[in-house]
Amino acid sequence: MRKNSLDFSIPQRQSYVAIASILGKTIWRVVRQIIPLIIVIFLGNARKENAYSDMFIYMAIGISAFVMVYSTINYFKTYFYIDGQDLILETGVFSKKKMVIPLFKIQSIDTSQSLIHQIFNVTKVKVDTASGEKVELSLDAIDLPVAQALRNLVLQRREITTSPDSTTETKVEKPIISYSIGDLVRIGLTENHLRSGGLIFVFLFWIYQTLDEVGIDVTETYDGLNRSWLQVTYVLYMVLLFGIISLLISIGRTIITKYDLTLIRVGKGFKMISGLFTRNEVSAQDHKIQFVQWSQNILQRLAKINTVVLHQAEAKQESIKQKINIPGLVELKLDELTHHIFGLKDIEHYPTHKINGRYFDRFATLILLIISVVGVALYYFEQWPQMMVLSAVGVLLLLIRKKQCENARYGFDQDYFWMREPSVRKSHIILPIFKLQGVNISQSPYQARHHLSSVSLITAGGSIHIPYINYDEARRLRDLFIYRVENDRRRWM
Amino acid sequence: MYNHNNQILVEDLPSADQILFESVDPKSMTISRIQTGLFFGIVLIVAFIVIYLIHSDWLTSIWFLGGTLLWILLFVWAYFFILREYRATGYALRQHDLVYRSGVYFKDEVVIPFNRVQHCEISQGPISRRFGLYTLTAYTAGSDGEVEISGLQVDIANRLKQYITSQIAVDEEE
Repeated sequence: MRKNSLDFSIPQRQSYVAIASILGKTIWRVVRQIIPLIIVIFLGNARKENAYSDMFIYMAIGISAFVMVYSTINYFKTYFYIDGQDLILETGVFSKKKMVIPLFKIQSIDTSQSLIHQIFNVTKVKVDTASGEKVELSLDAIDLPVAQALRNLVLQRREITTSPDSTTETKVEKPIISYSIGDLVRIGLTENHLRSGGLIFVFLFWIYQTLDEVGIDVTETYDGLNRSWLQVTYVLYMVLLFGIISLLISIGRTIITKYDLTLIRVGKGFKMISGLFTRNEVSAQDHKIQFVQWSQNILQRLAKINTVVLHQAEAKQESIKQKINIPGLVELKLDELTHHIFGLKDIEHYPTHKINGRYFDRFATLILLIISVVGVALYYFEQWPQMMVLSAVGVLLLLIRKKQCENARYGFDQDYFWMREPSVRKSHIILPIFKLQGVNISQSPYQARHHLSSVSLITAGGSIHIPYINYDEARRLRDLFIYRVENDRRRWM
Repeated sequence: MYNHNNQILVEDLPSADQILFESVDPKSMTISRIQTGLFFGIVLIVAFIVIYLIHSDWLTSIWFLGGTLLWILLFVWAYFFILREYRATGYALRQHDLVYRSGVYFKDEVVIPFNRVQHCEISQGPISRRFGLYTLTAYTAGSDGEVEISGLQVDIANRLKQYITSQIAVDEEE
């Protein structure tokens, strides 16, 4: 049997652990699909005989068995090797498929280890290519030394072919941040708890739906409970409980996903490793980073920490954007980061422009219109509680929009565009102007009447929107930015 | 570390204001009309069949007749809207970039510099093949940057493509 070897010219298979990994994934996928079914059968059998339940079970077993056999054969038919200047993956049970990636096109090789991976000293590998390329290669499990050797080899080859002068690429790794449990608790505490709360709601809804499918009438059971549940004190207790659970979920999730998070400066890029059960390793090359965004919600502002997102150039076919999320950065580290990437500081001192106040006016008009129409209908049918909720939601929306409108700022100099986003939280973006791919100016009929427009700055890592600015100003901005891009010989990636 | 560059006065910049936009082939309006007609017709026929199968009595009800009338009025509006849409659509080639504008009520005007164009292709759908018209698409990196000009005659489409491709090549050399 051929083991993983360090000679990449010979075609080799993945580690045997890959079979377990693939099978595990398949089983988990099937199980997730049929959980409601299992519950149905579990509870259904106790109540009444269901002729179909057995058939479903057999079908599920049959399908999973087929998929398992297929993936196992696929494993034995999958080889990877390096031929000259190309990394090649051959695969396919019925029809052969050959994936060829020129080494110089490889942007990064990311590895991630789950608990099982760590036990067997293997790793999952994802090969990331330049943006716009269709090919993307991922291997479920190969031996860790092999993965490291592959990464080094690719880096070496790429250096030889692309930039012979930069031999200092793999210099000493210097950690920028590494978090203790205390830091993680702080990060977890200041997270957006509404999101965790939302997760609980989704979970409860899922349980409700599953029970509903099983045939247990939840509302009926609920009505059967003591009516005193609905008293004010109980409601308060529930809210408190809900809040505490949200908080615990936030902290727990942070510790699991961000455990032992280390951000390292490697050559001209960053590497971030984190995770308790699954060790995730992602890397970002400086030149691939298109713009940087950092934000603070209210809690984070009190704790004086920022969440930083590095927006990398994304491949067209991938639906998930290539973003790297770095939580919990203090001001000093933030400066260090932007200094590494762009070599600049003190962006707070940029000249700033506000957006037009009609950004709020327009929204307010629409909201008030909708509320008055619905409100009249509710008044007609004498639905008072609904009317209260409606007004409360309306006021809340208006307040949020007002805050967004007030917060929005933008500015620029010779080389950089800077923006404080129209958002309730404090959120900034910095973009080197030469990284732009194009500029779009759009105008709605309302904006046209008031000589306003919105500008989209298109980059390879997503678009940045400046809403509601003067039309002439928008065109000046565009002409200036386009001029910069056209007269800049630096490579945007 | 990006430190370089001389001062540029905004007033001196080449502006996209004075651009003369070129229109696409007028035959593209016929294509749009056929497409619009097909869409409205097919939806109407499907609705007719579905309602006939569910409850054939409903076909003579005031609701169905009213709905049909509304649908036809909408079609007439869409039909005449095509001309306005055609007039609002235009493209312009400049020395270093491609400008494309579109939209009657919601206007868009996008500028894509040639040195950011990844590649450029021309394509043809089944209806536009009958009229010998092509669609030119210029792609930039990322998911948002993409300009699509449809309704170009074959020689214009090819010349545009060649020009843009040559501009990319010129840029690579420098």
